[in-house]
Amino acid sequence: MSLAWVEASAITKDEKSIYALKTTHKHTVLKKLFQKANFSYESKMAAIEKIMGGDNSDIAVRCKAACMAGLPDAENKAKVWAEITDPASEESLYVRGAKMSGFYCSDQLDLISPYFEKYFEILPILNEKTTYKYLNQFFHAMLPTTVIKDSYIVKLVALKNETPDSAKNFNSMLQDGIEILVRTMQIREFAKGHAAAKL
Amino acid sequence: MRFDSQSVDWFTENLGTIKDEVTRGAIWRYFWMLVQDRQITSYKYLELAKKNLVLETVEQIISVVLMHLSAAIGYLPVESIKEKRSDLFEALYKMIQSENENIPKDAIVD
Repeated sequence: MSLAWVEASAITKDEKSIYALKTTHKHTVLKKLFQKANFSYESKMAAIEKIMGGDNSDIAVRCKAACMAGLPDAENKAKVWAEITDPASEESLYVRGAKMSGFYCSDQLDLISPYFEKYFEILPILNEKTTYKYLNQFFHAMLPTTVIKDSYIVKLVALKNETPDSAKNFNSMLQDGIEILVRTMQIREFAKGHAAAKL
Repeated sequence: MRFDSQSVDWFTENLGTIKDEVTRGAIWRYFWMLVQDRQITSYKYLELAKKNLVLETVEQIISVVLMHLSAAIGYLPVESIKEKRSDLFEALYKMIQSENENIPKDAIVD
């Protein structure tokens, strides 16, 4: 349905337009479409071509980067992960940020789960070799909150303990991550407990 | 200010009928704080939104509630996300179709 809306540039009801879609709306739908496994690669590429064609504006380039990062394909995920964790990358912060925004998807748990562990391994390397601005973006965009294990919190705490007090920015970032993971896990457990009690 | 469980249930059913928009805004905000303090579940916040957002007419309230809804979905157990997203999509689609001209549709789609 939403793909038909994007093609018609409008939200419709009984084939009647009820809301005209802007470019940014169409991009959001495309990004979601690319993450879905029930559309073929060919149909996704046809949709992006139809909607964006030869558009090389900054927002179109970022949208394409996010779409490609979202494809449900293990080889593609590995390629994108290598690109966003390469300290020598010459891609702009915006394009890499777009790739990060498309990378995780709760429908692709089997594909993204391996990167939850890799995240904690790459943090010290990025801290050493990239700018604070990039590290901060990566840290928050890729922090694994879809599924949280106790071990993730332990890893961040261990990393914080290994970090000298003089590295204030990194320490504060790690503390922020610990708090986000703990809060998210507690709220989720609370919801799970209530849902189970209702059954 | 603390609501008892009876009041939480009443607002879940009737928040949209409160005429004063400042009061409504405060209650929406209060419910979000209850989620973060683990006094109500993120499921309850979604239920509140599903029942009352369709009656909301203040653009700023809609924008803030949608932002909170996005976070509330992120707080759900992963196995519930698809179903709750779909529920929410249906509620927002209903809002877009509303002929009530006071409903700011840009805030919903954006």
